[in-house]
Amino acid sequence: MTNAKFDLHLPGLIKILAENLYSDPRVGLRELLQNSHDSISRRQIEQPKWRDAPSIRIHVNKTKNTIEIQDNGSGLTREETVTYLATIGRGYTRELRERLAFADTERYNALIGQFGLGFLSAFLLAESVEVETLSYKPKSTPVLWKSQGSESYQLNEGERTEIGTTVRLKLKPAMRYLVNESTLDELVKRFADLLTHPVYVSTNSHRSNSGIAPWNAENIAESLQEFLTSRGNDDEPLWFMRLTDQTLSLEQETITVPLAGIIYIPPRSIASVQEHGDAMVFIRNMFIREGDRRLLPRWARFARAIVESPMLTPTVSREDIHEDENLNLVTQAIEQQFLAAFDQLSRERSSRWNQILDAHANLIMAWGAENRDFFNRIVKRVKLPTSRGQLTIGEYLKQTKSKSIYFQADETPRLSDQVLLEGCGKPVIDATWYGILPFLERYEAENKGVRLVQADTDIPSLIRTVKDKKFQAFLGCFKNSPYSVQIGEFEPASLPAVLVFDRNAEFLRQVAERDEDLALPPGVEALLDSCAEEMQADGQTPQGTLYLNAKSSLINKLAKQAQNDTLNDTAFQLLYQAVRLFSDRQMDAKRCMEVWADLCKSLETLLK
Amino acid sequence: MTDVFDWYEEYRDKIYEDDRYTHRHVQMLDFFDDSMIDEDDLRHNIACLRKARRLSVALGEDLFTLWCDAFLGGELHSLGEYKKSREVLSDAVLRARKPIYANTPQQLIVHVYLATSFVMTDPIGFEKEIRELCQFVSKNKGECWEHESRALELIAFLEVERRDQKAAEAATEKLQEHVSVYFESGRHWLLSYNQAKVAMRNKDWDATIRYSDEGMLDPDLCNEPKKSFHFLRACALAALGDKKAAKSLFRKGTNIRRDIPDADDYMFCAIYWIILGEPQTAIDLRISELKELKSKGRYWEQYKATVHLAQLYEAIGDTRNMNRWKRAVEKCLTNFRNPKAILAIDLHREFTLITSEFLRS
Repeated sequence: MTNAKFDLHLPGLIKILAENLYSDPRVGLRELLQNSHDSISRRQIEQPKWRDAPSIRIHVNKTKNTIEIQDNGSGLTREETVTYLATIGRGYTRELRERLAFADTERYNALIGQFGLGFLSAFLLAESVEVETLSYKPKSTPVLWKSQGSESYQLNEGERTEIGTTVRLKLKPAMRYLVNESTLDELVKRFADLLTHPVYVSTNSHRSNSGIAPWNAENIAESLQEFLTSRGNDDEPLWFMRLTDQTLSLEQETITVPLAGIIYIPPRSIASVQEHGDAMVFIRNMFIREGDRRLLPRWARFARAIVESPMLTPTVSREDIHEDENLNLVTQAIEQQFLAAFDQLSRERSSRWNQILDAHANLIMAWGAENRDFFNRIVKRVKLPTSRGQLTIGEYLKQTKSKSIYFQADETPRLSDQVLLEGCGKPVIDATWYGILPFLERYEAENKGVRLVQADTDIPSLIRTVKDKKFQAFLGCFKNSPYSVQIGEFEPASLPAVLVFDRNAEFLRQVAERDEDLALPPGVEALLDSCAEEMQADGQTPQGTLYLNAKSSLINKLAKQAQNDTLNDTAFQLLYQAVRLFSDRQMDAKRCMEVWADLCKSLETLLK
Repeated sequence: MTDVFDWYEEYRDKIYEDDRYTHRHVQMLDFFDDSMIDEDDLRHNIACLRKARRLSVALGEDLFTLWCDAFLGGELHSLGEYKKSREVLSDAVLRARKPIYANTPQQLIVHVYLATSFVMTDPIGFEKEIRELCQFVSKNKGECWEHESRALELIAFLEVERRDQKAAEAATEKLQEHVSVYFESGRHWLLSYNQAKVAMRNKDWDATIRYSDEGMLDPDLCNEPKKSFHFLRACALAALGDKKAAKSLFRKGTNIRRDIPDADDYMFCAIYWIILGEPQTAIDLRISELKELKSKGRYWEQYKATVHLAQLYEAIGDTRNMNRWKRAVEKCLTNFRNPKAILAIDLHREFTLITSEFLRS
């Protein structure tokens, strides 16, 4: 048996790691800033007497297309340069963090680096990289490290006299847009806003990063607003809460999830339904990603969050977090705190609570059904779209004086259905939006005796067919009508007639009357016929039914006239055309003109 | 004909760039885009598509209305609402013959989806029509090769359902060639699915495992459920005597959360319980399947479950229930265009092959 070592093609590996590990080359800047930040933290840990003001400064040189990132951190000795800077996968910060993990949690958390790969990302931005460094350690001499991203690097004596490190990047042509102070300022805000050590761009005397997380600020509301505004979101949140460490009870133990951040609720749902409970994620104050949809509970899509937890595990590129047990724990901790805060809000600040429910009613209803606790908090307040306007379930049931809730889920309730139901004092809830029906179903499940009724399936029960000889002659007057005409009793009595079409009446009519000139592809005809048969087997017809209300005094008068052979044809025509106009059928231009022509004829007769 | 989403992108760009369009047009597109975010969240997607469609009707955007109909029909079908899906698609197909829709992808999609619905509902009765329509789609696909793979997929499905082993192999091979040229993980999944199903029917358990493994590969590229493969593999493992591994895999399969109800899963699970010697569990499962299928126009699945129930009661010697379900089979047959052809397939015998072996032992 022979043992052999893997061969490494270092330039290829560097290229793969540098170019494929990260999806956004700008992340390179973040990694270098973090290295500088860690270097300062290291100096504070290892040289406790050092009292200088920490500083990270970025300089640009527009003529040479270079960027310099300078820090007054610990610097590196020659040996450390070789061990940590030039060895892929090995970083001093990680080793230091491992040593501090149990001994000094606060300082442990100040160190960000983890994988020893971040420095590689310099090659995302630059074609060549120079590092000039001088360690704080006694007897150190300055070192100048140079690399073009190939397998070799040059190590020379440097010239610097101040302790710290300077990274010089000769930018790639595609990255030259970075040689611009305002672009760099924006990137520092994006990636390093919360880092405690100050980052300056160019010779600016004011720091580009705020250095303090909004949740740690004295005035959280103000700081949150500034934070959001700096990210292009000017809307003042309706409400916010601060996240803190949370103790979770697991099966046999308890665990404290280290947690910081803010959950806030925007003043409204933004574009249509583009709401996903996005969270911005920070780990040890370093920006990881925005738009994370796993941290907030599913029912909280109307909310937003900024979450910081060292418990979250970043991916190697640190542009995302791992889906692991830690993520589950952080998610649980957030959900528990959010629910508790919401509970308090609903009890103690009802006006703000109502504002939130009004602003996000659609989403809240959609997701409220998923969580019983949350559902119970919102059920009495949330307003549903009904044929009588926006009503809470309580208001709906009070108005209907019954325990039946009428809804329409597939299509917007038809006018004729609404009119008939309204006549019986039953408003219809428009449950076409996906969350409303699950919300109603949960309400039904939690409230004994409540019954959900799909509006269109209950229509036949609203009309009682009447067979009375006195209407016979009147029915005869409709002999040329294309509709099936019936006498029925329904509410309200003031409604003389209603024309009802089955859901697929138009399709059935078109299948029956299809124009032979417009040929269908082979095979389709039989499929359409089969669909039509299926619909007809379900009792659907193409022609529609005209119900004349036996309770209406107008219908009774006309019926009497018809019986006596004295029917006022104008009144009859006006009634008939009005019913057609107010039917459910979407009229095409031809039919609309026909109806108007008949109406005009009747009106002219009246004028005579 | 352009590629499916090329058409949409061009249409969307026009709306964003042209001043004639209003915020309602943008909202209409937003709703459509929202329906594409999470393909497993079918109810949400259907609600979004309905909103987009309603806006398109109000705005007179006929091309977009047909576009929404195509996706709405597809999503309703995925949700198992075959009847509702057919209502949307048949109406759309009727409108799609108008000249304004000529050479648009949505014109072909509505036809393809309608054919899909019939493959799943009455593959035997409408075999001729499905074939004709698939040929038409392949012929008119233009640059849109996706349509052709869909047509080939339908034919493969059809042959599998017809139980014509040779034709199924040929159709699968053809689909295989096609997907090798145009790498499509979705179709790869389907290919393995068909092959595993046929292998199980033939009690070729090694092949069932092999194809299930293939189907479980490539989780990132393919969003199709792994659930069915877990069940198929669990059946094969149980049949080969590795009950411990089978149980663990079965449990894993049941834990996969997915909104899309796949009727085949009921069948695989029922077979799994038969192999484990628990016919009553298989019976309970099939009965709950029938509840799930009720009023949704899923006649073919209803029929298969009913035949299986009659056969299971026969196997456990419960004559009263056996006769009851045999009567139900007679009733189911009335939903088909050609009941004689359905009877010729002899599903009863097919189920008996597995049941007799495992329940007897």
